[in-house]
Amino acid sequence: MNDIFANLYREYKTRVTSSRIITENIVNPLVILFIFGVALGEAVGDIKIGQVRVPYLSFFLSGAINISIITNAMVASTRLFLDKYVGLFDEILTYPIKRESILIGKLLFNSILSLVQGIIMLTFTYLMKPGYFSKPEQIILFFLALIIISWGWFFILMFLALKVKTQDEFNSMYYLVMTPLMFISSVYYPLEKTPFIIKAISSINPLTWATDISRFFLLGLPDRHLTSKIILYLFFVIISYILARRSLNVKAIRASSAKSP
Amino acid sequence: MVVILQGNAVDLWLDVKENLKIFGYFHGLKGKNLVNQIDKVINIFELEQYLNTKAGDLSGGYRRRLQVAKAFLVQSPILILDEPTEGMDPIIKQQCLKLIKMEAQSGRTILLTTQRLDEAEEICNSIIIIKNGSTLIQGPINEIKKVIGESFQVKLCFDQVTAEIEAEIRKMKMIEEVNINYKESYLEFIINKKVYNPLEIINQFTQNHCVTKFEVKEPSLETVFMKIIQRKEENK
Repeated sequence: MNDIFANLYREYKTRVTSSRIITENIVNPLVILFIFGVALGEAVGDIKIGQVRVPYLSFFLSGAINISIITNAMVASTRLFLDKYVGLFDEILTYPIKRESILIGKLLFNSILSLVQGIIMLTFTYLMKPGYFSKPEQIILFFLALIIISWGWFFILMFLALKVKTQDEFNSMYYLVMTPLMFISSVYYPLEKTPFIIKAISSINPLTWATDISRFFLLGLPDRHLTSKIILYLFFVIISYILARRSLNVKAIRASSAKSP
Repeated sequence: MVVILQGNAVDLWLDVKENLKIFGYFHGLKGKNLVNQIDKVINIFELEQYLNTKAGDLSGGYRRRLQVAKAFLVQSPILILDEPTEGMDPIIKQQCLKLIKMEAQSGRTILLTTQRLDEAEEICNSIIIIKNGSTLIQGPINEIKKVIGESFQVKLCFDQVTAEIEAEIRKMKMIEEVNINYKESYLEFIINKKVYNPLEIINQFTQNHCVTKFEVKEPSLETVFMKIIQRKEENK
C-alpha cells in the first residue's frame, strides 16, 4: 500500500506543480466544451438520434470528456517518457517497490483527475443548457463508465511511452495516431450520415466505442451495437493492461541486466 | 539496498525537498524520521538555500548533489553508487568521499562504479577492474598493486624536458612505463624496487641536468590499471 501511495503522491506532485497546470487541466477542457459545444452547438442546433433529440452541447459533452481523458493519459505518458529520458525511470525500477504499484499509482491519479474534470464539465453543461438533466442513476453509471474508459487509454499510452525510444517517435505517435483518432470518431458528430469510409474507420476506433458507451449512460441515446462496443472496450482495456504490464517487466529486466557487469 | 545511477536522475518539476521526500517515501521512510533524515542530508550537501528550488532550475553540479544526497537519506545495508562525484565541486566532492568512507566504516557495503581510479584508491577496500564487460582483475588494492611487481613510481621535474633527457631515460632498460609531460616539464616511470635503487637514477640525473623536484612513491592505481591493460593487449 505504501508503494502505491508513494507513486500516487509523486504523480500528484509532478502533475500539479503550479497553478498554471491546474488551470490547464480545468480551463482547457471547458474552453473546448465552450467553443465546440456552445458556439458550434448554436450553429448546428439539436442532434436527433433515433427518436431522441438532444442539444448539441449535451451530445458533445461525452466526446469532450473522452478527449480530456485521452489528454490526461497522454500527459501521464509524456511524463513517463521524460522519466525514461532523464534516467529517473531506471532509478525508480531499483526502488524496493512492486512493479505494478508504478502503474497503479499513476492510474489512480489519472482516474481521479478524469473524474474531477468530468464533474466540472457536466456542471458547466447544465449551467449552459439548463433544463436538460440526466437522472441521478444515469450520472452515476456515466461516471463509473468514465473511470473504466480512462483505464484503457491510460494503459495503452503507458505501453507506448515504454516502447518508444526517441522524442521524434513520441511526437509522431501523437500527431499521426492521436489526432486522427479524435477526429475520425463519434466525438464531434453523429456517424449515421457520414460517408462509408468514415463510418468504417470510426467503427474500429476505441474512442468511438468509449464515446458511444458514455453517451448512452448519460443521455440514454439508442445504440444497436452498444453491447458489442462495451465488450470490445473491455477487451481493449484488458489487452492494453497486459501490454503495459509486460513492457514494464521487460524494461525492468533490461534495466537490471544493463546494470550488472 | 539503495541504488544511485549515473547522471542527474531527479524530478525536474519538483523542488529539492520534495525530491528527497518522495525518495524517502519510496524507501519506506515517513514522519519524523523522514524529516530528520532530510535535514541531515540537506546540511551535509549544503542544499539549504535551494530547498524550495525546482531541480530543473539547479545547475548540473547541484543536481548531482541532490542525486547523491538521496543515497544518504536511507540507511540500507547495501548502497550502489554510479560515478557519485561526477560534476561536483572539489569541496563537496571531498565531503562526499569522506561520507562514503564513514558509511563503509559504519558497516554499510558500498559498491562504487567509477572511472576515477584516484577516488577508488582513496576510498575502496577491494576493487574489480572491468574492460569491455569482462573482469580483468579483482581483489584488495594492495594485492592488485603487487601484480606489477614490488615497484616504485618515480617522478622527476626539470626546468625543461630536453631531447637529451628523453634519450637518456629511454636508454635505461630497468625503467618501465615512461610517461613524459613536456608541457609541465616532468617525467614519470616505474622501477622494480627489489632490483634497482631509485635514488641512484635520481642521482644520475641530478648530476647531468637541472632537477627541480623529485618524488618516489608506490605506483598509483591508475598506473597499475594501465599496466594491466597493456599486458592484456600484449597477450592477445
